[in-house]
Amino acid sequence: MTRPVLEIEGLRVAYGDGADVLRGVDLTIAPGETYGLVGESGCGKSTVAYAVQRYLGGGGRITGGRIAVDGTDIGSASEAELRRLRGRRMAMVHQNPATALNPAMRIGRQLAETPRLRSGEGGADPTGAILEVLRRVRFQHPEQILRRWPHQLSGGQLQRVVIAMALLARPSLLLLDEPTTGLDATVEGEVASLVREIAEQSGGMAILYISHNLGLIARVADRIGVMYAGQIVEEGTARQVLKTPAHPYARALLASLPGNPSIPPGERLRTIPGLVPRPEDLAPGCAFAPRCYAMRRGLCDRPIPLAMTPAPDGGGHVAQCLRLGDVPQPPVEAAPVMPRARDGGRVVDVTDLSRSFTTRPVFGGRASQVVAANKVSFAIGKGDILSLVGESGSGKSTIARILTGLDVADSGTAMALGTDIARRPAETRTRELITAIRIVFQNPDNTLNPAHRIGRILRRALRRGGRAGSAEEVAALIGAVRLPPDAADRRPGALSGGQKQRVAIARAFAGRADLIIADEPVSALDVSVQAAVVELLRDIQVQHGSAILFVSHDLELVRHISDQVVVLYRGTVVEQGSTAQVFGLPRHPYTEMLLAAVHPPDPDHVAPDLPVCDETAATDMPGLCPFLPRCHRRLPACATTPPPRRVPAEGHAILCHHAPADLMQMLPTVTKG
Amino acid sequence: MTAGANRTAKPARTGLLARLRGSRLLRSRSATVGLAILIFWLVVAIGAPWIAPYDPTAIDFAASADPSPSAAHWLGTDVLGRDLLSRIIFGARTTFLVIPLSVFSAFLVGAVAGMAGAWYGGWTDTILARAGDVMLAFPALVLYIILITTFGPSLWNIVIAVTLTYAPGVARLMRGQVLAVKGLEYVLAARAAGESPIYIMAAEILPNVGTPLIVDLCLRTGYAVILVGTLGFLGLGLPPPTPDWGGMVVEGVNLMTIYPHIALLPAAAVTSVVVACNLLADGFRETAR
Amino acid sequence: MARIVLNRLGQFAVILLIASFLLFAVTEFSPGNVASKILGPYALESQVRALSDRLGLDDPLLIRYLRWLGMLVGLVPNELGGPATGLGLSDPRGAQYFGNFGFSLMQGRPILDVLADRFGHTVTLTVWAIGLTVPISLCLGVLAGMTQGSLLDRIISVATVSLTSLPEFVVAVLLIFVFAASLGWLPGTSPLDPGDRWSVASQLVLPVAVLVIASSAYVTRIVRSSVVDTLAQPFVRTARLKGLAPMRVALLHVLRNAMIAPVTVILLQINWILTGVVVVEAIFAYPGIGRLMLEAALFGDIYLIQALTLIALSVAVTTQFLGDLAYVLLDPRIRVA
Repeated sequence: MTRPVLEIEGLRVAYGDGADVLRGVDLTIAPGETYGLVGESGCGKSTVAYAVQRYLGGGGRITGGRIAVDGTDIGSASEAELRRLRGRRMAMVHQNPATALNPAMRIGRQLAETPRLRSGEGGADPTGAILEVLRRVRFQHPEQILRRWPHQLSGGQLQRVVIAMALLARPSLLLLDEPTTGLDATVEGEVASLVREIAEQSGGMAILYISHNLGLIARVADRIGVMYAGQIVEEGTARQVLKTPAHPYARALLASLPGNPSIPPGERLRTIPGLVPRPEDLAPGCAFAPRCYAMRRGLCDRPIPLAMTPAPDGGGHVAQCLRLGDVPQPPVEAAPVMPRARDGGRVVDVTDLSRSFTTRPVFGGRASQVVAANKVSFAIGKGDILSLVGESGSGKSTIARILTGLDVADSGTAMALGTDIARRPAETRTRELITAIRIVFQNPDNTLNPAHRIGRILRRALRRGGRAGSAEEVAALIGAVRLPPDAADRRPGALSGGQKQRVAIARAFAGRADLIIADEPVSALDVSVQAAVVELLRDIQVQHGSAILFVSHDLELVRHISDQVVVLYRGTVVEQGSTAQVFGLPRHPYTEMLLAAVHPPDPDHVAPDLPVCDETAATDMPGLCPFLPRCHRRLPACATTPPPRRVPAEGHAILCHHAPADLMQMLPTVTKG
Repeated sequence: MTAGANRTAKPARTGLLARLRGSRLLRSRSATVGLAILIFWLVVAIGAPWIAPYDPTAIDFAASADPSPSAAHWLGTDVLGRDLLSRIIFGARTTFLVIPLSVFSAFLVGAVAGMAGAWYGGWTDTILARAGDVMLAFPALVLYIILITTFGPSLWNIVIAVTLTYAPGVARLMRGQVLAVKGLEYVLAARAAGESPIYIMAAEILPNVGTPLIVDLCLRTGYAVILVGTLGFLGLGLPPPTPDWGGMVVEGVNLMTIYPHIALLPAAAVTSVVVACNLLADGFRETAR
Repeated sequence: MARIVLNRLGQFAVILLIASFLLFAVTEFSPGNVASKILGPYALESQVRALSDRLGLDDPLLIRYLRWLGMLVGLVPNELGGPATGLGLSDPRGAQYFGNFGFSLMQGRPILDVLADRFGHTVTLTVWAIGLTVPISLCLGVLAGMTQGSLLDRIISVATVSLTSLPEFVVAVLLIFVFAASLGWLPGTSPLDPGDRWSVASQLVLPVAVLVIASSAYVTRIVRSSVVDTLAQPFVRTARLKGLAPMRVALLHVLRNAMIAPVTVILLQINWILTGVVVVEAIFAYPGIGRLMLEAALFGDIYLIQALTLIALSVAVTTQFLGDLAYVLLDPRIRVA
């Protein structure tokens, strides 16, 4: 057997005087292998990547163990040796590409720095090699990219540039730390398939791919390590870990995904209670025990060191669990989803809603028009959940803001409680309207005022909703969202992300709440927490008989909870219908592309092969299909006439030149090599 | 590293008053020293008539022959034979009257203008920003010289002059702070709940823009001390015989070779107040982190 | 690019016009009639009347402002000179020429002549001050920022914080005390008289030193914090993890970005130095336009005040414009929209 590219043994890392955040990590990656490291945020995944490069910063230091890259010991290497290793043996791709490049240096020059390290300043012109690598990361016109500044590229393009920069080092170890987090799902899928392609063509390059997204990991990894609280708790091939997970943590993580095939749409999602503990708050014995459904008292809480033991299916599949071989499947949530009250009445009726923004650069320059909503029509029935889906910039949030009164439409109507609210900002709405339509925002860190205690926030919301806001009412509200009673005295800074979103939900339901607008309410949360918040939202919805407008880019979640789906592309509704209709066939080419980007945590899943599109420009002529520049099914008519609205079935509409029958065929797929 | 924020510790105190009351600020050494110096001078200023050994304008002809420190005059006298210690003590009164008034007025005008511009945007914002640009175009001292020579040196004219020069800077800072917070979800939530702009400003925005403004307040107070001292030094301060530290320095400059204490002691007094303000600003900056 | 520059240029021209109008309004509207200020306190009512009529002092303010501007650019004659007013003021250039600021009442001669005597001295002073401030503060700021937390950084930080707390006049007094009064190495005043026993160069040392000390402490702090902020940026991490040599990271990645903010500050600092110039010239009896401004203000020489403040205003607005321009040039995110 050849020597592994990366060998980590018993790695321990601490920051400052704190407890170890990595508590004995063992990990090896062979040449040509892609290793996926998964786990919730706060488990120490990124710390592993930085420790490998000995770049911990912020008072971080290796307190134990050994790291070797290509046989060179990282811990004892001199600064100069380390620099040579960084430039040639290993390269890293970071999470946020927008800040990873020097804003004051052209792309071409930044890319040239790495090959120049090898050849020296006076060496051969590296442009040829750079262009070749840019082509490899799927740029159609690499010459143009060289002259661009970083701010002129999109997030997906930037991340491909960063990957190209890493490849130029011709490393034997490539580290990718959440390389697609924050990018649109379609772009995310593109980057993942690119990483897969690179892995296959590289001939011996080892890859460490860090992600919290099990679907992405399934797509790229040969072997997977599951991390929890600073340790790898399970390791095996991608198939072993994802298909027959051994550790309760891995099982619970997989079960909490909304796309989990064992949970039919509409049923309850499974959750993992609690949070990843901080290094100094670890339970004695198994660190996962306090959150574990299979925890056995007297066994799991004994303060003895745990070791990796072979899983029942063998073949190098190991896990760190005292009940290994005896772990039950995660329990199904006891309470069934309650039926919702629906009487055919409509809570809100949106017709031809339009909104566009004029943006003007700060320092002068040409103004440009951005269409956020273009004659959007839909209706939400009482007690229904309608989802708005689409990539960033599709206008989802603008519609949500217009309905809440934070923005006003240019034209069109939105009828609610017998009045048109499309052009009524919140300041001019009646109290009845305001308490009838409430909003839950995306970012848990900003959704609550850090200066106020939870009790004050809820009291104010209750009073605005026409109630007294007594301590009992506040306590009842806190209980309803399953927060501890003492939460009223805390400030938002003392709560976790999931807890903050619960408070936001409580605030929204402080009044009558006919319609809750949930603008990406869980997209910033870990899947385990996400499931709990979604279930809470649904329970309270049923109790109040409210309808929900669910704004999301997570199609699996949308499929799981919605009754109706509206697909938006650059402000235009390209498809709408019931959940079954939109997720079934026929489907709009854009819906098709969105669905193709969804990847279940299954290494055997074959992803449809969608053509890559570099440019995401809008169509010049108004009225034409907005999706035309990116469409893989375009017809000659698309460039000349506006697309017709086709109705394949009652309540289902598709905006496309193709006849519904033509949209029945599936995309060709690629098989994983 | 970023393990859940489920801290069991007691709730964080973020309110401005709470922060002042709490010990966090005083845990910073620079803030403690700065605060101590300011409190010292404040006590001196308030108690001046009781603390000062002499009337600051009383002339001791005997002492004027030799202004050096003596048993009768601990810090010596100025050229006219007025007790230097008493003049410095009463000078604190002038400083602690002019500076707080001017800085308070500048912050009131600037903060209101900045909040209004950021909140209403559009024309309100453009006009306020342009007006600020015009005021900032004047070099500060030049503006004072024009204003004070045309309208005469008086307490209120100094206050107006400081307000005119500092308010645009405060407004800019405030505007940026409010803009940063204005788009955050909790402010949007308050708007969507139909809260009035006044409530949103006071309860949702102000508590979260405090720290940079407090830091700026301390720094600007320091500059104001420098500026008022400089005005006094240039003969544009409060009309004599009001004791004014800047004016006292200029009276002593010519005798620098023989009696350096006449200029150096009031200079040290001015400097100590500026240092205190800067230390306090540093303290607030540390606490915010 | 050209569009952005023209746009900004237009904005600053408007600011300059409005500011100069305010300036004019304040000086003309000050208590007391302009004519009686010109004629002095013992003038007869009829004399004041006649001069007011002749100069059109009863016209609306805007008309008077436009006339003042017109006079300045040589479109409108200055009625104050010549035998007709009986003030004994005369200008060999005539009544109508470009740059006609009118007469200094204090010195009884054309302002352009007064400026000619003084202007060069102030230019010398500021050029030396800026020429020394920029390299000193750049070096110290970059050194401190790059070695953040080191002993050197702490020394520089403590020194700059202390120095920014010192008013210019205090710095001046201290320097005079040490180098002139105690040691006797340098002169305590700088009247630049030809027959002085001190050379012109030695007379310049202390005034320049005061300006440099006061402003370089401030600029050093700005440079340092900009360097520290840039070092914390993720792209610096990228550059380091690419295996680039520390020197290359420092020069190409850190400094290039860290200089964007300080350049603007340095240009605005010129404005600050102008303020310091007034103080320094007053203390050292230096014959520049700063002291002239103070003298004019104390004398009530309104035309001279108008002229000098207009000059100061123009310099200030120009440096603000240059600061903006530098920002646009240095930051590609603004330059290439």
